[in-house]
Amino acid sequence: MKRSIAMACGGAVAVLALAAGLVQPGTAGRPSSAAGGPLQGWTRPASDVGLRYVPGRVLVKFQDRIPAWTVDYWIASYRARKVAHLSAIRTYVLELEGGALVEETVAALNLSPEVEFAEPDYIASALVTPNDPFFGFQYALYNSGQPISIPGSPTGSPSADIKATAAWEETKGDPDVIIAVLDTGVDLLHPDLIRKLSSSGRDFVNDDFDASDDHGHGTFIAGLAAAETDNGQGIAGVAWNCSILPVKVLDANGEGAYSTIAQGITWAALNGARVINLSLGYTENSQTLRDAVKYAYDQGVVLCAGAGNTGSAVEYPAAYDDYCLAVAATDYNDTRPAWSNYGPEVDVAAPGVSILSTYPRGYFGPGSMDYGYADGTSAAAAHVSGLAALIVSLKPFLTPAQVMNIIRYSCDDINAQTYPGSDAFLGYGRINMEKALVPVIIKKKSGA
Amino acid sequence: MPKTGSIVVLAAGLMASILLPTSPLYGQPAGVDLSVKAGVGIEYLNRTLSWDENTFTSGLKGLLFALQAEVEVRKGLSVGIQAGYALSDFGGLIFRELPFSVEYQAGNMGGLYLGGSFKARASISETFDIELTAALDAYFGSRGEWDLEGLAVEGALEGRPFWTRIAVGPVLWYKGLSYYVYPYVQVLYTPLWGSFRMTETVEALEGTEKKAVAGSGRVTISLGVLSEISDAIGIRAEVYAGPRKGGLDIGGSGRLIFSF
Repeated sequence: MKRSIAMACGGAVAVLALAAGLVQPGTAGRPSSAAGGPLQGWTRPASDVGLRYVPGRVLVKFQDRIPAWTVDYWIASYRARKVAHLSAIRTYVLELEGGALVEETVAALNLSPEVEFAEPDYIASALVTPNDPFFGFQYALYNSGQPISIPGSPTGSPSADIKATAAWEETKGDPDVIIAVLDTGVDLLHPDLIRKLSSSGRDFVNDDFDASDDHGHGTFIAGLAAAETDNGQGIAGVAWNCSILPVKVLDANGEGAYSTIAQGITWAALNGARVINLSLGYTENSQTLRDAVKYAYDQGVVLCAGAGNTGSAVEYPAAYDDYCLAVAATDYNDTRPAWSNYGPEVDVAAPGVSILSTYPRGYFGPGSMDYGYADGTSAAAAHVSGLAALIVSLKPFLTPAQVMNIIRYSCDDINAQTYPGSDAFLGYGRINMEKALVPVIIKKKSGA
Repeated sequence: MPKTGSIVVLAAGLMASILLPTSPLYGQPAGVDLSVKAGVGIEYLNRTLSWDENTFTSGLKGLLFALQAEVEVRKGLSVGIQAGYALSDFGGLIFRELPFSVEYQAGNMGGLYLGGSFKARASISETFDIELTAALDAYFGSRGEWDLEGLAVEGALEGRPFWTRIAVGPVLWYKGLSYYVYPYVQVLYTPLWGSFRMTETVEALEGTEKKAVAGSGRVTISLGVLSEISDAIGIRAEVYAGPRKGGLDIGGSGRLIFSF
């Protein structure tokens, strides 16, 4: 299974042929901190629910026929005082006296013949946007139609993303929820990962407890799932606050025996993982690998695996349909790349084209940035693992089957025009973190 | 939160306190002047609710319509019951333990409204009466059904709300006005409890969450007036304000009373 990763180094494009997991050739480019821009985070308080407005304050616009010199009289008659006048739109900001309630006052004012309209002074919230400088290049998390990487690179379609910013308003995850990254290891000292590691992990290739990455693939995957977020550095991870447990089951060539992978899966399940990311695969079925996946599932672990990048049948372990979410890839326009594997086992899809993430320090040479781009269902699976960790953080009582169904049912059916409903190419569709996590508003039935 | 059993016990206690021999508050012979009143009442209920261990708040708004009957079993002692229909809106209540979290914004839900009260009244001067009142009422919402929209598959929700409220406290009546108009002020301890049971079904996913809620404030101050239009007909109107953390809940009620 030879795969390749395309990355950028010091402005020059460096395409390196690497043996890795499920990574395909991708768009090269160097993220620019200037282009990314610092974005200030702003969090909606958890206790604020329903309509939010400034207590004791209303906005009032008088009818045109009301002379300006009588306005103060009218305001006083409402037992209110003028705080400000938005003269361009002839609207007054009033503060109510005597503890009058906003909703009742607004209702009364709207019945007054001299008032054109009255309304509460609602409070708007900024979407949660982390201050990581490369966040602007992570179209997968929030796609505004921005260039994918360097100037001149393709631009995405707005909203062809997994709605991370809206979902982070509901939860940023629990540090006690651990995502085991079964891969080539993780750069344990990467500045965007070092504070997110639950331990130095387990290395089943060299049989020790130092799961350092000697390849690069695992570091890339770990960053996508749960890089340190809002730390003013690098990228944002999907599972903002969740932890990473590195488990090295692939060697320096990005290859690992099924027995090693099975060992890693059972060890992770017994060592606190609630989510296991498996951005690896092969075409052959194995009872040993299946049993290991089932064991973890039975232990309460959600498993997410890349479907494969060969444009053919879904590989294993993703194809273990009952126990594992098989993840296909989409791009910045919400379309499926031809190399994304397909079959009835595909559950969901997530962005997997031109994905920016962490690379081991020094990977591109001294002084280079520790971030780069790659493609593949590996990246897609990592996004889904991050979402699974957030769901488990918010609702730790759910079973793996329930978490998997929440992820499936909350998808956007982006290929509904050609394949309505669940299909073999994208499953239920591209994951939607907002639908999976943010409360759905129950409205009156139409006609009720 | 009191369960239905607790409500029955409380109601039984209320009845027992009326039926068992008691000392009249102001020395009138007992049980000699039985009078009956009937009425039609409406209340605008407005309370702030807190839930999830006071972490979150939302509103409870409602309209309560009731037929009321009140019997003066002894001089100054009366017992009343009421039954009717109520609309309650739990807008803003969020269920986060369902597989898909949901926020209720579907407006009023109708339901059965029942209540009972006990009053003991005594004259403390020529112009003032003092009354002690204890009341219990409850709303049993009917089942609601909604679609869970926006998902890749169809989903449905089914919910049933409930609340109960106790009101205990003194009422100070002023009798100094002419034309049979009697204003009053009352301070009531009015805890409110409730629950909203919601069941969600989305294909293979199913979950039920019973959300316990409680009134955010527990004391209300009311100003009201009773106007006796004739010997047989009276009108009572009242506005209440309940202070709570960060604001004030304001509601009110009106009643048309027929005396026999």
